[in-house]
Amino acid sequence: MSIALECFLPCCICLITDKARLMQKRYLLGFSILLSLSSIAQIPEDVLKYSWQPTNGTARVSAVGGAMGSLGGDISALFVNPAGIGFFKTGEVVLSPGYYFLKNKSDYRGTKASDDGSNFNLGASGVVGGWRGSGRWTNKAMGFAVTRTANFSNRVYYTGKNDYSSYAEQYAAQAAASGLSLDEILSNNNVSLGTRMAVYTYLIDTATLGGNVNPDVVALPTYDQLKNGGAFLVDQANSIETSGGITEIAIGYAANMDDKLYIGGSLGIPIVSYEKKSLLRETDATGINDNYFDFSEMSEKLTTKGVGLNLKLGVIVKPADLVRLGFTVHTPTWYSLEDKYQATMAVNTENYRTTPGTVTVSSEIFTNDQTPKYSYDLTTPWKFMLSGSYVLREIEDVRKQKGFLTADVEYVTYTSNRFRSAEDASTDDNYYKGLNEVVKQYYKGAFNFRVGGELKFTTIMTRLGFAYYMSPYNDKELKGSKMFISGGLGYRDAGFFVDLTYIHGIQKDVNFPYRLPDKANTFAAVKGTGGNIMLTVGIKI
Amino acid sequence: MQVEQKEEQTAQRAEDYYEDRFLRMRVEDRYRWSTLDDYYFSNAYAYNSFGNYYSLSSPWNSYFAWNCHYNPYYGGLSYYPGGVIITKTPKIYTPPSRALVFNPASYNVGGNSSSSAVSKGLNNSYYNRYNNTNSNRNSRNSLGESIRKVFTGNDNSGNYNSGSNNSTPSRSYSPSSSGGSSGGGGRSSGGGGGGSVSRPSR
Repeated sequence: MSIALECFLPCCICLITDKARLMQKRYLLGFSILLSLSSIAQIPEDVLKYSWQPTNGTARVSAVGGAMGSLGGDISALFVNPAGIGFFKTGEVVLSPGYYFLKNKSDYRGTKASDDGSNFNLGASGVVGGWRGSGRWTNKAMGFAVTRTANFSNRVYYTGKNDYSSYAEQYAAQAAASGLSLDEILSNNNVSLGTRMAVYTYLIDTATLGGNVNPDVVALPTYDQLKNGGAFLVDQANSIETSGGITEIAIGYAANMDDKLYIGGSLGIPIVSYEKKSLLRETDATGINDNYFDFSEMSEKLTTKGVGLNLKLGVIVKPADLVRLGFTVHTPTWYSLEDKYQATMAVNTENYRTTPGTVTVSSEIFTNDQTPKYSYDLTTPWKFMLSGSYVLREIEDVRKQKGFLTADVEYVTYTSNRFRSAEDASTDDNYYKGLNEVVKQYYKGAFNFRVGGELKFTTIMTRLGFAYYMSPYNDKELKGSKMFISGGLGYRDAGFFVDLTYIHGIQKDVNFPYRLPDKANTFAAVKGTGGNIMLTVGIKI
Repeated sequence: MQVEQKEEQTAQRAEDYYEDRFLRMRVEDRYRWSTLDDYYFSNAYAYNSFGNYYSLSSPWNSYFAWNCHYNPYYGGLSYYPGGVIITKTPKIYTPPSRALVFNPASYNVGGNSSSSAVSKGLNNSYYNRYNNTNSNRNSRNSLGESIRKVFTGNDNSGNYNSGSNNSTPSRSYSPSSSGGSSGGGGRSSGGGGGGSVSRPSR
């Protein structure tokens, strides 16, 4: 899950003056806190990690909710609407450090828990410069910037009693469906590492249940219930810690025709670094000491590294002096990614084995003591954005402008996420086909809304913003949303500017500790609240 | 007619000329030039003003020409006018074991009776998509829920499903003994089949 707070300040009003340095542009900050809870290695949940996140611009842009698709004049435009850098007629250098903190409250089967975390952040930082154009092109501009488009640092914890299902059942279901004997499963790559570990540790085994001729594959936590009609109740706890982020480097170019039409494009190179550590523990809560299950725990570590490429194209027009309209298209990001995975499982089945005790196994026993790697490609969604701004008293001398109101509406095609094997010919193709089919149906296209405004008092500016990101889930039972409220102050004079913004984020999401194909699933509802403080300093050059 | 006859005569004279030159060389040193017999006798234009067919200065030796010295598809010897086309046979990549259990059916897609989902085999065979409450209500007693019960008289936490604890489906053990281990290869490997792993004794 992810919380992303983005803010952004617009700015911009750049009209021409002899003193071009008075032109403003800065956008500021955005920041994003992404909580990626449920992602592991090429499963449908992975896609939100890359695409359900807000704009992370400068402090100014973040303060107006990130709504800068039609404003321009801020380096954040390279990540939102590149046409916006066409407002630059001089240059500036911008740095946007930030710090965020968050707290996640969870509700899992009626039990509430919480966890928190904090980390540093980086908003849009870089350099942009404009120069006089020729012919009908009034001026042109080019920019180079970097920002943290996703921040994965997060911690989530939930716990609760469960009398309905065990996480071990996912392994039992896969083992039964594989058509393989348990011994064959131990050495077969078509079966997941988790299932192979579950077989090894006797977390799953075969048992002939009452009335049946043939044996079933049974999860040991449910063994006593299924075999003997005993009780089933387990305590489940899941602790997830994620770190890393997506750092995007962008270079863009824009041109301004008669201060009426601005067109631009930028090339983005996002670099992914993600790590997830999780511990899922299940403990027998029946109080019975001879029901063949005491506890089991699965400790996992997943890392994802990769790089992508995307293109952003945009246009801003000023049909009237006070009005700006913008349209932007973000192509998908074409990622090339590699996952590495390692897991350890520990299981105690009480008196089920003749040699009682805890059996522990590492996933590497099944991979020749190597860490398995999974290389794949991911294509993220398209984004389409319509934007509008109303500039209060837009005149050439930006010192006399009084502020602006701005809004963006963005549509994201979450269903178009696509995984594919990195290999030309792979036995994995069916896996990715199934994965992509689920993505198409599990998610939906969704809108994001951003609004904000700025009031300008000569050298001091005040800003407010709001952003709402709709749920990407197709199933209405799965509640997901992100909301950000932001406010900030800015100072600009004599070629120097500084902006300070606070963004408060509230995010709702769900987290499934495991999934069963033949039985109802259970999930935790996670509500994350957090703050992001962002500072942007810049100088005109 | 006269023009055609003149061209034929010229060509004939040229061929005779080359044969004469070659025979003179052979007579002079038969071992030195013997390896060129087939080539020269079958190609009257081998001796041309550019020296030979594959001279770097020959216009026939375009860098982009098929089978030129620098053409990546050229695989023949320097004076053999043939070539080799290299074909790549794709290697089938077998990945290591998946980290997680992934089963499309576990995502409840198609639960809204989507015809496309059904046709693609993704529909679930069960109706209760989620179970987020325990049948044993004593197992959860948070303060918030207790307060909610007092004021609303409703002890439902809001999660809509109440599944049956007897709903564990049959997971028949029916090995077909057709499975075998498979190793990894290619860009994404890193982990192989793992060889033979045995469970600890029960």
